[in-house]
Amino acid sequence: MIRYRQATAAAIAAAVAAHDPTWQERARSRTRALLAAGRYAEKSSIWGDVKRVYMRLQHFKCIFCERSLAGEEVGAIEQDVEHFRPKNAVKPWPPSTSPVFDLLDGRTGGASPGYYWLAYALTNYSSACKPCNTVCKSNIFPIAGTRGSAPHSVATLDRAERPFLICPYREDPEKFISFLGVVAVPKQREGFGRERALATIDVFQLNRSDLIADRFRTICGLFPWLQMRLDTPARAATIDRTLATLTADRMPQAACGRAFVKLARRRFGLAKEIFSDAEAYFRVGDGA
Amino acid sequence: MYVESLRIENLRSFSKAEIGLLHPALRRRRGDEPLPRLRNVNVMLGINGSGKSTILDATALSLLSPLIASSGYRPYSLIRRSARGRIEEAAVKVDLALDEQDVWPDGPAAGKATMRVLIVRRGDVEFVQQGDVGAPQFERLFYDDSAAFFFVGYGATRRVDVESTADGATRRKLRHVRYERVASLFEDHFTLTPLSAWLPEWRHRNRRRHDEAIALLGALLPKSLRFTGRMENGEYLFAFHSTTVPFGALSDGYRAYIGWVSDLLQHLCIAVSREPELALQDCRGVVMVDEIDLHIHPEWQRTIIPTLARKLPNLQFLFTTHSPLVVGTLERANIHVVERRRGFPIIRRPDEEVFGLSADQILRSNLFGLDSTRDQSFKRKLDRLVRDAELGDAAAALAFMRGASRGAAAIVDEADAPLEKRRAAGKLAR
Repeated sequence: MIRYRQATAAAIAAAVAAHDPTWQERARSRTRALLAAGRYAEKSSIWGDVKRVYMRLQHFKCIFCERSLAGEEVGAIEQDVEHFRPKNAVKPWPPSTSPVFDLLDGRTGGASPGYYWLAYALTNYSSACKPCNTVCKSNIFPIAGTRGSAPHSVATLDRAERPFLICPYREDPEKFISFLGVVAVPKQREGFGRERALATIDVFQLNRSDLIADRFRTICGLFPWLQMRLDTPARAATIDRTLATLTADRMPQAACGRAFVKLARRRFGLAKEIFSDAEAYFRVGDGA
Repeated sequence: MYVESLRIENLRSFSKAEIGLLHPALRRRRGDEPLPRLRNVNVMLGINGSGKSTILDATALSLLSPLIASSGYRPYSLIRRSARGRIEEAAVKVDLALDEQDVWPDGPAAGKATMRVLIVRRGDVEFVQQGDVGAPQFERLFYDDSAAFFFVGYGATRRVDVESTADGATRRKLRHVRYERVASLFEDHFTLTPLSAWLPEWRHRNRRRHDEAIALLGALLPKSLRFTGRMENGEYLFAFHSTTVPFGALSDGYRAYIGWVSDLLQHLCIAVSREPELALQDCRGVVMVDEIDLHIHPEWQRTIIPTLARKLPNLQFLFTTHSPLVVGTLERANIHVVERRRGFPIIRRPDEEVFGLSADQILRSNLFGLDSTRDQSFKRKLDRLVRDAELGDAAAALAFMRGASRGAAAIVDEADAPLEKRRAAGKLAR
């Protein structure tokens, strides 16, 4: 999941206004119509018009899996406008086959008719890759609290509903999800924070093979610098600046990269072992 | 002679199917699609039981049809079995492109021809009905040492008769030579003639063909193996790295390959024995090999078809394979996929180009349709390690990375390691 520090509600609104001055007015009038109808039933939509704003804010990465996606010119085709709270009917989650099913014990809010009044709420959007949005998330939105209703705002709903899925706009995902090598794991040892991390990792399949490969690639790029830092302490300051660039928010798998740099500082031997796995992954592994 | 197309009705698992084939004389494809690099290669893919081999069998049966009654072939369970009642007959039709090699110089002109074979049922017995014996175009088919209508086929159970008891005369009593050339497609216990049982005789019988066969065999071997042409205790010697090894001591892969290739060479020698102007590798005809990758090492799989196709450019090849490495050396135009749709096999072309893709990409393409190329139990093991890692087991995360990068061998120990070892690893990770 990407860290999204600068994307406050105000910053997003300003970027949308700069990109398309009429959009917010059109969104308001559509929202009024949706509230009057009491359900989402539009034949055409307008969020495609602001997709680029989100793509840029997210450094052309998927908000959930941190993969690099195509850029400005042709990127719109592979990115979905993701409605964090589904505008259409919400499906229950988790299925009984999910490894977190027992853990969460069915306390996940069940099905609902959907958050139609948030179809045009700017803070309910992001840009996501098709695997994360269409295959993994689809129309689910598990919560630990009570399902809210129209016309409550995103902020009010967040307090009452206590969503399981971590929303990178409003909270720092790295408080919840960490990486041991390439494997996404919960950061907190217990409590709701751990459950949220487990749910998020499970829903978005954050340990699926394409992401494992992507993270091994990140580690291959970082380790030589870490080794150099150890060998030539005099150059530490310069190398730290390089490492900061290589793990900046705009880089793919930045959260994994940051966790790896941190691990190397504490346990260089373990980091070296993981690097040797990464290298072997591309040398002998089949990447499946 | 080359096979242009084949139509199958009610044969084995096929209800109805049609397939168009590439051959060396083809100058353009239907719809003006470009011709592939290897114009003489056709490969069938499909899961076990899909009907790949039936396509080779059907081709052989129809080509044999004019003389099938006297060939020594016995039909068995050829007519499709249906849950909806008995089917009484099966049929195969091939459209052929003939050339001057197939007809008498003063006979009817070469051109297109069609052969049909019909299999009918009476009680529990199946009969193969004699094909078209009267067609003047087919006259040369009835002569043994003729280059006309040359076709050979090798089934997946092909093996070489090491005992070498079968002399030519005994073999001929059992099967007509044209049927013998495809018998391993139909008979599991059929053995091919070993090189040492026919090649030495050709030194005196026809020195030129003898030398051509040795040169051609040499050209068709992989780089690691060289044919010496010398014999020791009745077996030919091959140079393998720095040693010489008799045929019987070669590995299964080499023997399986040399077995059918030298059988092909023998029959080419017989076929062209009255065609002095024809070099051995210039003989036209059809070669069918079931499971071309049988016992063959991956390295060699990547060159086997291109080598055969280029060294024998005038033969039309029909192969079946399960190997993604073999497929990676071909183009879309060379490939037919046999798959089941609503219970019946259908033959389709691949949707995407495959030439140059890695074996892994090909396995996961819709030609093979695997979701992961990893062994299934190993994949389950990896999934379990990830889950344990997510639930807080750091040692499982390390074992997962080791396994994902280095394969099954690397995690067997770690995942099943005693608890204290895993605890130690876990502490290290924290």
